[in-house]
Amino acid sequence: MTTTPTAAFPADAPGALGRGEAGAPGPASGRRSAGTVARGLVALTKPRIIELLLVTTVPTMLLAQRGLPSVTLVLATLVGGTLAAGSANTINCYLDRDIDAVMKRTARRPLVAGGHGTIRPGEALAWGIALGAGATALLGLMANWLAASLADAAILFYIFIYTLLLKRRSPANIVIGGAAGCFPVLVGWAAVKGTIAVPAIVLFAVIFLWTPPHFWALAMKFRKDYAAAGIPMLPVVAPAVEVTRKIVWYSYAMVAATLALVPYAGWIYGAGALGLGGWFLAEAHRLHALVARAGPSGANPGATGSARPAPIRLFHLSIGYLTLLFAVVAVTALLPWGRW
Amino acid sequence: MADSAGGAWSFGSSILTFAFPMILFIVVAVALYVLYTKPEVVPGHRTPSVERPVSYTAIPGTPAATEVPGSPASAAGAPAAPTSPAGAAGSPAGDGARAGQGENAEPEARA
Repeated sequence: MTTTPTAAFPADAPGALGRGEAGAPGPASGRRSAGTVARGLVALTKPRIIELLLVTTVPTMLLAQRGLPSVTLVLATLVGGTLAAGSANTINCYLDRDIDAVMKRTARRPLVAGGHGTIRPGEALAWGIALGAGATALLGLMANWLAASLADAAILFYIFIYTLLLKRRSPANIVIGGAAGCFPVLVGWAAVKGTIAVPAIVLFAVIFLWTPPHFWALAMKFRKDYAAAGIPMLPVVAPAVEVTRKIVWYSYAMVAATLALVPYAGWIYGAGALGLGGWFLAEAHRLHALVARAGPSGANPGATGSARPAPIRLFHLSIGYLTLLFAVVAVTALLPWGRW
Repeated sequence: MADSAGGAWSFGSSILTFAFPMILFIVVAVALYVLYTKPEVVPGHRTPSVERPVSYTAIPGTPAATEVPGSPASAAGAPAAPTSPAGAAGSPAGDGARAGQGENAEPEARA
C-alpha cells in the first residue's frame, strides 16, 4: 500500500489540522469560522451522490403508492435518506482519508490535511454517527422501522462491506459494495408499504447492475489515481478491453432488469425503458469497440476526436440514464392510464 | 499495479467480478423477498387503514362484521362474530359484550 501523508502524520494529533503535507499552514490554520466548518461537514456527506440516491427514492415511493404519498411521508423519507447517505459518506471519508490524500480527484476533501483540511477526523466520525442516528430516528418515527432498518443496513454495508472489506482488496469492490447504493429504493418502497415487494427488488436489481458500468467508466478515466492509491478497481487490474466487455455484460443485464418491471409498471414505462436501454447499450458497445480498436492498453495515440475511447462519456450518460429511467417510473406511476 | 494490468487477469478474476456478484445478489434478493414481503413478519408493521375496507354495522340476523377476503383477520382464519369463541361458548352476551369492548371495531389489535 502506498505510504500516504496522513499515514506518517496522524491527523488526529493535536495541531495536525491545517498543516500541509510539508508542514506548511493549510487553509484551516488557526480558528475556523462556523461557515467554514459547516461547509466542510456538508462536503463530507458528498451531496452530489446523495442527489442521485434521492432521484431513485421518490419515483419508487410514487410507484409503491400508485399515486402521490403524503407530503409528510415523502419529506421524512427524503430527509431520512439524505441523513443516512450523508452518514455513510462521511464515515467513508473518515476511513479513506489516507487514500483520499493520494488521489487527485479526492485530494481536496475536507478531511485531507494537505487539501482543505477544515474538519478534524474525530469531528467527522462524530458527525457521521450523529447523521446515522438522526436518519434512524426520523425514518423509524415518521415512516416505519423497516425503512429505518434498511437505511441502517445500507450504512453498515457501505462502511463494513465496501469501505473496510472490499475497497482495497478486491476488483469486485464496486460490484458487491455498490449494493449499498441500491437500498434507497427499498427504503422508499418500505416507507410507503411497510413491506418489500417484487417491484422494489427489481428496482434494486436495476441499480445494482447499473453501478459497475457507471463506476468502471469513472475508474477508467482515473485509473492512474486509483493505482497510485493502491485500490484494485477493475480498470487498474484488468486490461481495458476486459473492463469494457464487463461493462457491456452488465449493461445487458441492467436493461433486462429494467424490462422485468414492465408487467408491473405498464407499457409506457416499457417503451421508455426500452428506448433508454438501447441508448445505454449503444454507448457501452461504442466504448468497447473503441477500446478494442485501441489495443490492449486501451490508449490509441493515433486516434483523435470521436475515435478516441472516452469512458467519462459513458459515466455522464449513466447518470442521465438513471435519472430519466426513474423519471419514467414516476410519470407512469402518476398516470391514470398506460398500465396493462 | 497499473503496469500489471492484463498480466494478472484470469478467468477466476472474471468470475469474481461478474458471476459471484450476480449469485450473491440473487441470494440477497431472495432473502429480502422471503423475509419482508409478508406484513405479519415485519417487526412493528402498521397496515394502512385505507387497505382494510370493513363494515362494522351490525344488522340483526347477520354477522356483525363483514371483512374482505385477504384481510389479516380473515387470512388468519378468525371467524366472524357469530362463530367467535365467546359465541361458540354459548354466551348470548358474548358478541355484544366484545363489540362493546371495541374488539370488532379495532381489527388492527388482532393483526
